[in-house]
Amino acid sequence: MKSIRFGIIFAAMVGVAVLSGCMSNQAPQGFSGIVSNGETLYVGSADGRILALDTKLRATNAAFPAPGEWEYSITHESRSGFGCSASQVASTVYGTPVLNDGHLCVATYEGRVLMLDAGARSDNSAFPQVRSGEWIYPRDDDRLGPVVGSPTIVGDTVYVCSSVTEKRRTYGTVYAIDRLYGDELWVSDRLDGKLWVTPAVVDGVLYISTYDGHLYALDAVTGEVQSWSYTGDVGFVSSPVVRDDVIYVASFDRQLQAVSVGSATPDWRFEGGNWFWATPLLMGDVLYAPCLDGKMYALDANDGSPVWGVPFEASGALATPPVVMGNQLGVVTKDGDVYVVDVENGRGTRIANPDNEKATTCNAEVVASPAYHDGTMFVRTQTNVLWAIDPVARSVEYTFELDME
Amino acid sequence: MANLWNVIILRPMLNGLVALSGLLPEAVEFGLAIIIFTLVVRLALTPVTIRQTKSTKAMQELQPKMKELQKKYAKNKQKLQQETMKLYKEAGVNPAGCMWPMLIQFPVWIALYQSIMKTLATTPENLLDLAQHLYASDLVYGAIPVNSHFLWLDLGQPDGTMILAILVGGSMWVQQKMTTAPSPDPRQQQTNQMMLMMMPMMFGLFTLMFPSGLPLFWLVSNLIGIGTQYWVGGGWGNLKRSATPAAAAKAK
Repeated sequence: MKSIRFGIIFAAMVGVAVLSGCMSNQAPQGFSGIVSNGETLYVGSADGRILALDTKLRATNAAFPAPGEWEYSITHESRSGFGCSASQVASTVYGTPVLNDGHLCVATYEGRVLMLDAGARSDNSAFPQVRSGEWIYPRDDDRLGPVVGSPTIVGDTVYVCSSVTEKRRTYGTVYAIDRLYGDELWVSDRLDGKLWVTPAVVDGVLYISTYDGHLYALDAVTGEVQSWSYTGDVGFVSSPVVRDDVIYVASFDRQLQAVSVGSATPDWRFEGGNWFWATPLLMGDVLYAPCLDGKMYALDANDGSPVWGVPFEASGALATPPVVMGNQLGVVTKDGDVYVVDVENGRGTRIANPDNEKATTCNAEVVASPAYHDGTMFVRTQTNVLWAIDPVARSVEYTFELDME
Repeated sequence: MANLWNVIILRPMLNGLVALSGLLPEAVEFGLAIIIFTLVVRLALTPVTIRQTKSTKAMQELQPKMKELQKKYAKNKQKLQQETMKLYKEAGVNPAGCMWPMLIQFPVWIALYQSIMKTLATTPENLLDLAQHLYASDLVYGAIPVNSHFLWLDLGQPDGTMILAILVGGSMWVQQKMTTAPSPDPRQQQTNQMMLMMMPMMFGLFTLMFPSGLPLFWLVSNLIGIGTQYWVGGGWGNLKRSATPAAAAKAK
């Protein structure tokens, strides 16, 4: 009897150990993307760092950081051990940094918005260098709710979406911050539903899509919620793309929808095999929509009809937006396969892994938005490796490990 | 192996939970889905649970005879083992019978924990991962995202109020107390007492650590266990009796 009881305890402990193991997978990791400026590439890592890389120097495998290159760790205070001790831990960044006038704007899942000056970071000065236009919002110990989308900068205003749960309800809030000084310009009313999106600002109106199925339009100057809003059948999974008063957005019921501002029903809907997780790319009159079903659809933005005879089909789920490379698109699967796709007919070519033909191109998960600069496509894996790919030669130019001693 | 686990256990459970949520009122959808799901799981495990209850009861009834054997063969362990097994055989008792429902529930717990966390998708990574586990059904896709709030709980977060921890620990204590017979052996009695306190405390502590969707499953499971025990065991069992050696001797 005694041994049975100890057996039960042992089994319970094994079970709990397994559960605890599962629990570690729940920690947010982040999937910040890449943005380029001249010869410099700004990359968000999967551990809360922002790196500035010189593409020419990386190609030569020069020691990092070379002059002009830098890395900055975004951290926040974390309390552990029943609140007894506090330590600085890496913040989580999901949105791709936004480049504006030599500055990078980054928002964290822990509820902070930072404006980094490339020059001050290169000098490794203490953050924030106010004279260089650096700031952090909120300035005190306050935090916003988690920020998942990228900030949007229009004119002298930075717009950020965040969410907070209070009294059993989750609310979304939009913040407008002065681009130069980091002062709060306005905070929107609480909006129904989680806001995990990048806001779209067009002609003085800010558009957002919420997790529980609302499209809202706010005055970009005052933050006032406009009278028109749209309520879908289910929640929205992607950030909105707006052009000519039409909002293109993906919903949890696997549909991509076009909703005219002022309308109560969608203009058209297109159903995929899974969610259109990545924000679709609007180029001319065609919407290029990567889907988690592994296909990229090219749809006429006016009526949602397919443009290609058959959609481009990749080897796995597509979780990142495509990058434009002239008349080609760079497409990356979640498993790390990279394709070059012809925009005219949707035919694509896979780029082989240089070391292992059976592996995917990058041989690791890719969720961060890729970038294209000066003839090279850049992809960052969740294992923190940057891949530089030549889309013309269909080959890997070089790789660079973002994790350094 | 991981793929097999996903296909056979995780995905059916996850999609079942999501589909069930889609059919329930939005305000309580996921919490109620967990409760209904627990009822279904416990119902499916009823034959094993009843066997366990009967096994436990039979083992308790054998205690006096066991004690005699222990006295008789105190110096001959091998003989004691043989005689004990003989006693079990004659009484038709499987000593491991008490463990099976517990062991069978472990994969269910793990899969349920994974299903809850994946469905609630508290982080963007979880949400992205969820897409890969959903069946291509309008009912399933239409139910996402689920409402994570139920009563005072956010099912994706640990309950900070201690209420759930007390309920889980308390219900587990009641369930164990009902089945733990007083032993005439003081050492055995001490072990029983320790077990009676340790397990509820352990699970109470886990409740403070795990997202409250899982402790909700434990709580409902315990309540069903108490009901089953009451029904099969014929009343409150040892909960009403004082579990002291003196009481044990008196009962004997």
